[in-house]
Amino acid sequence: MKNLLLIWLLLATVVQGAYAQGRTVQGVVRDREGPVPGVAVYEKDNTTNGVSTDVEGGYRLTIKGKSGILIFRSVNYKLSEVQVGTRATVNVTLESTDQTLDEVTVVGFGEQKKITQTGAVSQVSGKDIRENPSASLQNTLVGRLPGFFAQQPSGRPGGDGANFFIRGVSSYNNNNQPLIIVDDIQYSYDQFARLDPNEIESLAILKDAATTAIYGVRGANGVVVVTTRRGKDGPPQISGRVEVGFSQPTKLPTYLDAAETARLYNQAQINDNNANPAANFKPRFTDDELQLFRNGSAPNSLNANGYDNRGMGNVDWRKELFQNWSEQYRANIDISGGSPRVRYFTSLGYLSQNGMLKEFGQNSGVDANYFQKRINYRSNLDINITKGLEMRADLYGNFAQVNLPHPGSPNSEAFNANDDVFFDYSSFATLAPFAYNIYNPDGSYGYSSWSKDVQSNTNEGNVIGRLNNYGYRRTFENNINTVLQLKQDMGVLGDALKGLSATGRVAYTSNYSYYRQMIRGRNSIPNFIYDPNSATTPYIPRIADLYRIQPYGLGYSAGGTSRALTLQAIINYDRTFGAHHVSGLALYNRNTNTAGNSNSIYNFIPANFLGYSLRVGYDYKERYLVQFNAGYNGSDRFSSANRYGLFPAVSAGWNIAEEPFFKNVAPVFDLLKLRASYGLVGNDALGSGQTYYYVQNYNGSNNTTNNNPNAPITFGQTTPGSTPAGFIEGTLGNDNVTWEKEKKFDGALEFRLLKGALSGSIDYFRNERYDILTTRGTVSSIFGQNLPPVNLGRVRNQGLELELGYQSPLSRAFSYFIRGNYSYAKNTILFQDEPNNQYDYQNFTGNSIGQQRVYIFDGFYNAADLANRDVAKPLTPVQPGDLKYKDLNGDGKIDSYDQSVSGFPSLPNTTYGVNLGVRYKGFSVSVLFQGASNFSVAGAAEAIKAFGSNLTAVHQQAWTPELGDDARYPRLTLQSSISDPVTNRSTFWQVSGNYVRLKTAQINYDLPTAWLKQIGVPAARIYANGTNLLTWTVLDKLYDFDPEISLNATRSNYPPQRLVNFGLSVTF
Amino acid sequence: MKKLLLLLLGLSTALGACKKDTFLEPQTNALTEETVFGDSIRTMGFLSRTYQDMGFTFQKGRWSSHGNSEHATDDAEYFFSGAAQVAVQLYSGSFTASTFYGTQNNLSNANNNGSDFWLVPWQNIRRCNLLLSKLSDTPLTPRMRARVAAEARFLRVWYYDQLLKTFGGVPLIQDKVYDITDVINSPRSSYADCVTYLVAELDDLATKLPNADGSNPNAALTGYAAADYGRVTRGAALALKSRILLFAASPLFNGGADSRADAEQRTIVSYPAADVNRWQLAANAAKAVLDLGQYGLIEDNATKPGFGFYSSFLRRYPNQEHILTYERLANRDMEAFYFPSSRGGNRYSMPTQNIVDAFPMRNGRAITDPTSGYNAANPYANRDPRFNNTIIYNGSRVFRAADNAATAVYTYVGAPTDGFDATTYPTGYYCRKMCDTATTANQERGWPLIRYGEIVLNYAEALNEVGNTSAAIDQLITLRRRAGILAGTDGRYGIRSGLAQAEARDLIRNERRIELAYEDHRWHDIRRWKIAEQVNNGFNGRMSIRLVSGTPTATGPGNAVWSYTVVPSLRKHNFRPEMYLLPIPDTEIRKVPLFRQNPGW
Repeated sequence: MKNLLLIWLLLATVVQGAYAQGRTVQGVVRDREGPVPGVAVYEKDNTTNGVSTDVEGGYRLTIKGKSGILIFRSVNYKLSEVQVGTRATVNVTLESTDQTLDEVTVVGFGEQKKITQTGAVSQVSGKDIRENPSASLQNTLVGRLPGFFAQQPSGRPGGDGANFFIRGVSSYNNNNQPLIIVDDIQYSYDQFARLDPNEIESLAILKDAATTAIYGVRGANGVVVVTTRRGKDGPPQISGRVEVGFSQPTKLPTYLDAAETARLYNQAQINDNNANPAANFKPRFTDDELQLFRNGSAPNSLNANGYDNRGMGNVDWRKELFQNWSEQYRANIDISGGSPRVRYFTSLGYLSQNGMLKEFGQNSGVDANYFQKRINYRSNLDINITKGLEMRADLYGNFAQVNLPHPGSPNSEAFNANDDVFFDYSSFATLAPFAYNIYNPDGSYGYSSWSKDVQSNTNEGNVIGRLNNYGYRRTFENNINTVLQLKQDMGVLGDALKGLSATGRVAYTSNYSYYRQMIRGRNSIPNFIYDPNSATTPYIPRIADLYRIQPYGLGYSAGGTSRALTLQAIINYDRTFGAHHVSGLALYNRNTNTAGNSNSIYNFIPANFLGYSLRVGYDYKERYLVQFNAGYNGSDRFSSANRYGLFPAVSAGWNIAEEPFFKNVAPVFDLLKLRASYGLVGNDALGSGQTYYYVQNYNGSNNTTNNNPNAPITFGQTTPGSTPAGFIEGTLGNDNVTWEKEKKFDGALEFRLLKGALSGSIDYFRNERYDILTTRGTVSSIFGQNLPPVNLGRVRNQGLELELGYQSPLSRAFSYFIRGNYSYAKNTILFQDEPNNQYDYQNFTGNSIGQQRVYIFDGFYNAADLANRDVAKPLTPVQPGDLKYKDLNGDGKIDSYDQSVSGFPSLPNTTYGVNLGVRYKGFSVSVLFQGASNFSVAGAAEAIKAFGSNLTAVHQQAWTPELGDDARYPRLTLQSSISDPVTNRSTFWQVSGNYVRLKTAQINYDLPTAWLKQIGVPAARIYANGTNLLTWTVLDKLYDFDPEISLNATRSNYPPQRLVNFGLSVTF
Repeated sequence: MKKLLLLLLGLSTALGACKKDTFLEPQTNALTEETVFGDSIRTMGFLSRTYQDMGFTFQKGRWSSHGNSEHATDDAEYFFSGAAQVAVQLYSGSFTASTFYGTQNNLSNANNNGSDFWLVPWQNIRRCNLLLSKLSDTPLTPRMRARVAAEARFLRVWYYDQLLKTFGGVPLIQDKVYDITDVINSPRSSYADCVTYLVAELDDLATKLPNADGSNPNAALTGYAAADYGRVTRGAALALKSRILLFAASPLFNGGADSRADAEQRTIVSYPAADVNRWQLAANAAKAVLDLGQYGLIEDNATKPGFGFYSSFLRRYPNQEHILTYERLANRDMEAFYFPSSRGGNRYSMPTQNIVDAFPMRNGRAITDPTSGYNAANPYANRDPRFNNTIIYNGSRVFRAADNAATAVYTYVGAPTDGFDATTYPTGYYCRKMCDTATTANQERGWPLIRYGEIVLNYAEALNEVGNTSAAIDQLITLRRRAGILAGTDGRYGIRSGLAQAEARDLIRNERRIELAYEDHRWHDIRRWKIAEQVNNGFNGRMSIRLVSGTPTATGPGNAVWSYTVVPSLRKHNFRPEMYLLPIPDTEIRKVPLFRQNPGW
């Protein structure tokens, strides 16, 4: 593979012929701030004759070509061409690419000048993205783009990509993910997360109908458009970066020590016994044993209270399981340049992300930590074949390895979501601080009667032993993409065709993954309960007759494989006739995606899509703007009668600042633009599993309906060899099924004044999603079969986006900027065929997607409440200290009719970011604060429930008669109760997760060129940056978690990481 | 180069053009209605699938693979205690019409909620109706079609009965197969109409279904071959009729609606007025099964006392006791479910002190009888052999592979692995019923959905209620003889002569409890007798045994001396009057305006 890349590179740097002219030119290259070092200066017709500017921006070059034109090129600056003429000194001021009104923004299948843009687009440059060292691309975007909503529930290497949405969510069908387009080719989410930021030129999100209608049936959730870096004319420019990063969890729960945990366990037992007094009751731990815990020791005998506490330990599991810091390494090298005929950009990137576990498994020769290793490669070539015919040939992709340990967690299958050491860590039943000693005096893995018998449903053995010996699974991914494109500029055929071009494009994507694993099964290693009081059998095996470690088993399986073929043909037109500017685009797009599916009926059945798109734009003197976009799409997910749909959008803009009268009135404005768009966009992502909703399938099935563990019936007098094949009717088909549709309105005001120093925009949007596929909620189950979804639902989503930025003049040695953005997107379910609830407060309709029905917390029951008949109580007995809920229907009892739809969904409806930066000569510092609010977090089971979860400080504040309503947690109990967060969700457990984060910070130092000269390096930079550095959240009143955990999290999982990163970058 | 590229471009667009016609057509070859019912084997497969849910209430792994309605009774304690577990909700009474069946707007059958009570029957009724509607299109012979129709109609009755005894009257949809455009808004049928319909169906089916030996006296239908054993029979039709009529005569349904019910609700959930004659109908129906002469009890007290009772559950074919069974391949389902950890089981369900005390002594006398010879300091000696064959107690011997012998299971405090711990779930007992305690090999068996013993008890109960107490006792005696209880000098197997009707009623109910323990009867029985408020309200008993002195060995207690203390279970059972019937799922009430909810919910 690498050889191939090298050959590609060599081909691209074909040296052009040269002849001498012999005159020397010198000068200084500056930008608004001052001299610019490292700018490539070369002759236009003889690109091999070039130099780079030095530290003071100076250059000296002997002209050899005929043209007499010099080209000045540098990253982040506009290319500058200067006619030398007879001058001997040519000083040049470069214009930064992201500061001018001529700036272009990326839109679907092309670019547009920002000034004539009539749609809602937010864009971020590759440079900004690279300030955030996170391994998944989407994590770098948070807080930078108005309208971008994200939530990152996990920090697991190889699985830490945030879920993200554009302008919130509009469908309750879990198919709100935006379309991702990389260089005009559709990308999957995993592919996107694994893109190397170094390859990215810019990233834009398209938010309104004007910009997304062209994607037709796939554009309703918004579109992310990525353009990658491409070569430019000039001598080869080589840049390299190396980075070392250190990560640790933003938040990992800290649990109480053994002494406190044991004390609270006794307390819970005493509480339970008070409810149901038994003769001779005594709690589990004697006073002597509690003292042992306090001394750092642990009990090891059948105790005086009649309990078997043999083998208990006193362990700080956090210290034993996790390292303080885990490392991340990243290196990139890219070479770009070109001649008039060939331009190239090639890059190679390497990422290694290590996990937070300590090094387990070394003794048995396996690496049982989490990790991700990834190589990204890209070669983007542009070749001028003939005058006007240009070929683009891209080859890119990545190889990745992701490793998972197999801790053999309780109640889990190997490597399923629950087979996770973070479950063990958070579970009281599995890893109470006194669960067991890690090692016995003789070196064997320890265990306890407690873990074996009392917690027998989590009896899986010593966790350190499991991590050391149970092995791992490593997933290998190979993702290859190729794009071949030919573009013919028709303008060369005659003036009449000027501005017209035709493009044909073929793209092929292949994703392949497989895993290899080496694991041991359950109960394959011996643990012993150490009983020092027993003379005969001091070591009791956890499993009788298991004294030896059993051998490893190897496993292999092919994973997700998908292949996508895209064919596109495009005709583009762009021409200015005096004051009139006309542009247009016509597109034919065909896409086949063949992927594995867990439903065997649809396994490797291609999903096909066919589309035509059209764009027509007109502006008069860049003052009055109008654009029409449309997509006409067909998708095989629908029956032939409903297969094609038209998605039109219109947009218009008025550049007030371009009006002569306005220029007189308020010359301070460089830009003042009003724009609006309205249109219809669709969404054909109707859910996974079933591909064709309009077909009814029958299945062969032997399982009984109720997931009975393989208990099929059999017939026959003699021993039957097998069970009869069962056949079953599948979900009924809906012949009328069609895509979701969304009407999008967007209105905005953009402004820029003080010569570009102050800029900003205000966007208002209102989207109405309708025809959302909905399983009818008003058809009785007497029907006897699953109903197909029908296009019924409606959701309104509206909101606001604000952007404001100030940039101080860059020409001074000291400069600074401040940019802020704020996004608000609130959706409301208008219709979802909800049954007619008995009480209005139980309706989900009228609320936001993802809101929950919960009890309203109203203090704690006290003894007086229990005696008072007027205080509403639940159907099951309550004790003082249980959570008291509001009796919403006033019937005097607390039951599920008292649950109302309350709180917020788990996805924030408000998000904001503030970006600040200062620069002094070669020093610069920038920080990005990001915050989110109006979302709810709730935990259950191993996440919060005492004795499901290990105990935290909040459990020390559990209800007692003395604390009363000041308690922070209901009474401690080992039984289920009305307070239980699993079965009785309430506003006590569902709390606000609002947070503000120091999301990224970066310090840069451009090394003085005086030093660099001595070692022959034109430019170098050292920097330190970081992400998730500090977090302020209101969540920590109850939960010891990062605020981005998912709603109703049942336990701790791999927490999002704080990453501090140090880097060096060098440019030749 | 240039030509090549142009060619490529041309080719790619051409490819788009020429495949356009079929490009967006579906490309699977999945089974459809036509391919299933156009094929006789698949049609029979469709029928088989309808049989598959027949044991859904019986199966031990009913909810989340380990819960069952037996945990909602005084017979068993559940290994799990999470408040979300279906079985826990059922015994703790914490459920409502809107929570018990899942929280979604749309009922969907999931094994972590109680939706199967409502959904499984309706899904299978649809399957039966769908099969009936398609039969004439299938390539089966007319005689075969007629038999398949009879089987499907029986299964439909079976699933209706599951609804009827759990919810009261439900809509009778006849042969309707709903289509996507149908609007369902039919009221619930009255309890009386449901019983009439089901009994009429069964009466008709009794003339159509083959006998237990496979022969079919009705020439219009085929019989069963040896390979068909396990399909529904004439006996099954009559036995199901006996069960339905017994329920119809029972206090809950025979004029026993909740006091809060209005007139309309009363007719939906019960016969509005009690009528003792319904017991006579029940007695007649049970008698009809006994008179068939195709079934009987497996009796063997020679091998070991009560061995016939024990082995009847481990015998698949021939098994004269089984009237309707869910036949299974060789398995260890029951053992995995019930056995203690030391025997490789999951002890999901553990017997309580309550049921232990229900077993009489070997002489047939209740332990509360001063003449029974019961010794509280040695409580497990000389008990009804069914006790030994149902319960594993401290010192019971169960086969253990590592020992290659039946060795003792110890449940005392501090005993290794299976010992009692006051703070958690153990009761001091494990279940042995239906388990093979002599080997660890897989065992073919059938789940006894209806067995002869039940019909005997149905008959005894009905006879007693119509006043024929002595004839009722005779039925009990046949069961007790088989169980291995000693006949006694009077030959009455410990049953006093001259019992009054009320005394006999308690005795019959107790006999039913221990004979049919863990066979999916208790929860229904305590509801239909309306005694659940008394027996299933509070804490069950558990046995905490302490080793006072001595050393128990693998083969037996040896010189060990024990002390016995009964302690309450940790979790309270709550039974409220409305719980005699489960609520109709709240979402169903919301969807079907004509539906009446059950009283009290």
